[in-house]
Amino acid sequence: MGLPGRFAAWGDAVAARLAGHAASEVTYATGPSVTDLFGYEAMPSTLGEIARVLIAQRGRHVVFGARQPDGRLCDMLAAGGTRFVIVLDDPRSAAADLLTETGADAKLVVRAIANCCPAMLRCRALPGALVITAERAAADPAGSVAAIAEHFAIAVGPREIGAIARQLARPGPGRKGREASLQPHPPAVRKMIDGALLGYHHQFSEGRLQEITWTRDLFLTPDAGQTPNQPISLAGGSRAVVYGPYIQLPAGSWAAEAVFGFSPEAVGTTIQVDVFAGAQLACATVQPEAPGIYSAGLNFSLGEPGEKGVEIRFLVGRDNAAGQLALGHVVLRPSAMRHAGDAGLQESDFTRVLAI
Amino acid sequence: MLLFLMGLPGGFAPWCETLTAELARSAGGPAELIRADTLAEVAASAIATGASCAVVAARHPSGRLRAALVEHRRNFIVALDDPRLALLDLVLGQAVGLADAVQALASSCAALMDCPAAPGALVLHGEHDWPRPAATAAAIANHCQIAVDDAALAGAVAAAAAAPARLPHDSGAWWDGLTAAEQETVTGAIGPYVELDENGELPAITWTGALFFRGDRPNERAAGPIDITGRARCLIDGPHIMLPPGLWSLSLAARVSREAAEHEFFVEVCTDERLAAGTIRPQREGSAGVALDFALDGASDHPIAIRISSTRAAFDGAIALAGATFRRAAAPA
Repeated sequence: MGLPGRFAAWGDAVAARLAGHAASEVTYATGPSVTDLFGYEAMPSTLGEIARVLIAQRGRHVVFGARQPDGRLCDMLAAGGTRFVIVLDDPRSAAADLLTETGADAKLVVRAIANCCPAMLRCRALPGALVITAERAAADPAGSVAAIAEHFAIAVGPREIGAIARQLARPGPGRKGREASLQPHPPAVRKMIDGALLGYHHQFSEGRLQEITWTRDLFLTPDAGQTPNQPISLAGGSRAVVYGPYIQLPAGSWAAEAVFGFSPEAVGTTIQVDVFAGAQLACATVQPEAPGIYSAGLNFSLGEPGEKGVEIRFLVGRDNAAGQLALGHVVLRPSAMRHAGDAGLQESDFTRVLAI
Repeated sequence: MLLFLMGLPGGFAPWCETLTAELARSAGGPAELIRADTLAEVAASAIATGASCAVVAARHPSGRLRAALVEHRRNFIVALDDPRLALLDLVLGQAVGLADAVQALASSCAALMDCPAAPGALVLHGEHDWPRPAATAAAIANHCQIAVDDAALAGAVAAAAAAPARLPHDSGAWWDGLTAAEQETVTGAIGPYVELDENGELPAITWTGALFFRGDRPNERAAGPIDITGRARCLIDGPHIMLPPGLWSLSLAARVSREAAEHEFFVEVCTDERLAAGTIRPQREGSAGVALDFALDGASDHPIAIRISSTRAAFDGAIALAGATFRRAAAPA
């Protein structure tokens, strides 16, 4: 498993080479496709994708690189204690890779990577996981290859390990490479990447997720040709004037702060800001008494990732609404998160007392 | 590599599975036998066993699994049998309860109905191919491209001979020993697959109340009246049987007591999503029903469930499901 990008491709290649050492015929595939990652539809079942590879293959081994493993796969891996490898890069490097590789709209790329991060967090805590970070692989490629081989119980000697490490391109571009590849992009894109993904980098590297910021570029408007970077007219009837970004978040309780502004004509107009993920999770009503910048606080709890991710909606309920709204950003801070047993806590204390 | 074999529950399909696994094993191929009806089950079993080479045995393969085999141009085996003999195998040979056997067999008949016409299918018939094990083994090996010599063929046939064979049953005596209601359950759910008309169209399918489950006790069959006393809730659920894809008309017939006649009952037809919904509005004690139309595509992994729920709390009353009759619209010419 790994975030889409060069480092995950390195991990896939290592696994395929090791499997090829054990048997000559190896089928290798990844999923979901970039098209699915960029789409706004529900993601295909990971187990279904693996099954399709198994059906199509005629070799003796299959290596599947999961970019956004779903809950059913995680449950299955957890239940069986199945061994697997997660190669974890800085999500911002993964975004830079995907931007370079596809040339796609930065909004789609950032959303795709952000959607993969909660799945990696969940899988990382499973008992069968071996986590290889980009830093570790860059510092010791041969040691990382050897660790993967040992985890999969593939008997391979140091000479072959060294050959695999040498023959594969060095894993990941590193910080300088990422900065160089993002240099041509405007500051708003870099801000969007940092906002949505830096928190996950901290979580992966330091075990703490402080906050995530969804900048306005990630959101959508109902009117074709209009973007949330422009003032949005509130007139035009009952509807969501801004919505999105349909991004998955880790399970837990969250505090969201939506920041936005009203023009003078919008004074007295009532808008609702809500959090939606299959059902409305939180809602706040705002009626500006003066033009200016406002914020709405929304507290909500999420279970495991759903089909389409989390949506923040700005809803106008009156036909005679007037004026304009400008979206700033939405900041999300975890207020309580389910523990995955990765913080050195004495789990036995809890299991004994709570009988869990 | 995975080898796929789909067949009716009973005696013939397991014999074919054993034969196929032995052939593959003698050629140094897959040894695992995986039971899976959906893509997810195929992957989960392969991950759990660590086997990317195996014989996959499906009893009621989902539409997505069948479509994936065709899409990837994979050869597979369809082990068909007379459903009546398969029912005897289950009930008399394997001591499966009648309702459970009918449920499994009806699902399998529906899922396998279009398989013989699929590209890549080798269709085997119990009546014809079970008594000719050597020829059947050779056909399977050839179709699945399993390279085996005559000795390996003979070895596989000998190993498969250890699988339980069809016992000689006195089917007439067994049938005569069933109650009229039990016979109706069998003929309603399985009979249509035996009696496909000349155009291959299905006669009406009827699932009697004996195939359904109590809403609040999902492991208990709902044979007989269900007490509606208590809060609004799901009263009857099931029977979790597959239907072939198509445009369907459902006629649901129930009987209600005098106290239940003043209540309405919400009816849903579901797979993994709701396909249709309606309400039974009894006018008086006795018969009541609802008619629903729905479209079923071939993509669902889930069998059909009909849920009947009370819509408000009741102090007294009972409802019994007489049956659910399905008629499929003829395919456009």
